[in-house]
Amino acid sequence: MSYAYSISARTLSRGGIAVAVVAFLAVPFYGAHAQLGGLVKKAKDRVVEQQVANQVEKRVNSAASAPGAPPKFDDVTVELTNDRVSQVIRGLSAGRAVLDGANGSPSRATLIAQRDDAARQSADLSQKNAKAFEAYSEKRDASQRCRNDAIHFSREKRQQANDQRTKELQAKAMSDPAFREKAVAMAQKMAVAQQKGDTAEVHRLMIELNGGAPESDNVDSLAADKACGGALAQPAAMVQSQKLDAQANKLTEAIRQLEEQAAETEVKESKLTERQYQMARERIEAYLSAMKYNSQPRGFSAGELQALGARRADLEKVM
Amino acid sequence: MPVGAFPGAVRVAAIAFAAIAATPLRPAADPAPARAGLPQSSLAVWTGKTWREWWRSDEAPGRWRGPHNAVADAVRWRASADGVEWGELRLAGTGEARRLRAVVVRIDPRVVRLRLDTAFTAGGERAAWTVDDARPDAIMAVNVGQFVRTLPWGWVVLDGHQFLAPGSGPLATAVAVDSSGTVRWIGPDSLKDANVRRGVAAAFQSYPTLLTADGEIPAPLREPGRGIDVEHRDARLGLGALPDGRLLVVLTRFDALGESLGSIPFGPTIPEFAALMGALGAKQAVALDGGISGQLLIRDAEGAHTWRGLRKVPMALVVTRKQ
Repeated sequence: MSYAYSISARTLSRGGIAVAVVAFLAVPFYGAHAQLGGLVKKAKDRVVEQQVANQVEKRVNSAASAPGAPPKFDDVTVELTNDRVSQVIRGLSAGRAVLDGANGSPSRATLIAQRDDAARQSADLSQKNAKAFEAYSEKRDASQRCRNDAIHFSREKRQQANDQRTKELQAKAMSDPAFREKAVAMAQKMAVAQQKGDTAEVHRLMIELNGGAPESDNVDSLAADKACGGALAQPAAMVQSQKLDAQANKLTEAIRQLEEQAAETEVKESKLTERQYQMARERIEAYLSAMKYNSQPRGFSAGELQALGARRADLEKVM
Repeated sequence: MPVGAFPGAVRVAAIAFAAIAATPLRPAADPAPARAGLPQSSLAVWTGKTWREWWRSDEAPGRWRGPHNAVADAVRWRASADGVEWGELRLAGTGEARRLRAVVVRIDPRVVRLRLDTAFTAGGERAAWTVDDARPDAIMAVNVGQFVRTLPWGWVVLDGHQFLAPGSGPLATAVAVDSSGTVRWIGPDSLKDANVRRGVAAAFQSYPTLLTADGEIPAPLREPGRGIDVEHRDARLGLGALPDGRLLVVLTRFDALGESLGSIPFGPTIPEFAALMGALGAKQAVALDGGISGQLLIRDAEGAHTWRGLRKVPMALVVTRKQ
């Protein structure tokens, strides 16, 4: 700490004490013990925090003195000895065989070629029929807008008619005692039917009360069909393009499944646990990457570097 | 009323009160219920003056309700472009994680455009994306999802078309962007509903979930033996959602000799990383492919800042300016 800083700190400290004292006097007496306890606790906390900070500092500095040291080997990160490198190579080779179609399914290369072919055909169709596709999209959008408007209009019209009918029935119930009695009787019957769970009877009674069958559920869609025409047929090329896209997606899924099978085989044949194998594989990738770019591989023990160096060519072949 | 209007002791008490009121709250986190116990570890952050311990495995919160001030304040934010800002913070943990750096990016999806880019070798036999391949107009790019060999794991939607079907798993989270740029976080069960998948322009899945929708640390991350390795240390990469809708990207790097050893996959455990996401304010978060895959690019007025990985990956989230 510099002298200037020290003076300033002392000045601040005196000011701080003055503020604390006056604040202390300004608070009710019954809080004084708690306040004092708080100050002592804060001071203790500061000491603990400083101790922790010192420990962390020590830890951080020790890391700087040994950068790139090997990791702590454990159940997951196992040391890559000659035997383990051989195990990983065995696993990788078995996985590669699966990708090459050893289990009877088409190879990954075949699937990729089929997938790319389907995607290419689809793209060609889209390109050749771009104008027709665009025209269809425009027509479809216009038709959709028309249908939305027609459905909205039909719904509004029906709602208004229903409101009018309800008003008329209410007025009739007020002025026609016979109708009122009939309505009350039917309402009671409906309640009974509902309690029994007899939906057919409820439906029948409602029709009777309303004086006719309700409109069908698709009345709005029918109104839209009438106003705007039915659904537009897609151009044949578009249907074909969509089929090809679906085929390409299916093949992509098949490629992914094959890769998953290969990954499972790698683990199984390596005789390592899945976590051990994945970690070993990742560390080997890091090693090969460093070697490829002529940089020093970090995070490996001397024994590991020796074992990996001895099998580098084999690893590059199967990785 | 100005402070000068208070007479004598009342004024001092008011200053003291104001100072207390202005003091930020300490960890805005709920304590976790009693459990079998995570392996002993801790995390400290460099405040600029000293190391401040902010997380211990034996006192790990079970839920994050807001950022931890010591951690959040340790980031010096720099604007990269409209809607993207970034910063770094130094962390000290246990074992191999005793010297770490975290690169932190905040992205406002309302201001920028989010897209997914994929890259494979010509024969489709290998993943081929690295930060060096990021499109020239990218202001941020980061690898996303997980992958087995070449193809991404789980659900992938590119340009509005499903490229790969959803994967399943209790700790899988999907991140979907619709055509308006709105980002949705979708849990593993919801993804079965076709309606949830409708209207998506770009999407990917990843695992494990680090924070659920309400900032809770999933149970498998709180104790050993529940399907997540809570002890393993690795370089980590994660994506989170901040309460205001911004996205948070965090990449940890080994920091023994600056960035020269940055790609060495030494880093925090998954529970420690989940805590870091929570401490930086995420209310929801998922891990991305870290280890030797983790890589990030940020472009600002100074040029490109890159944190490279050692492995090529199939897919990246790319942020560009809105046209």
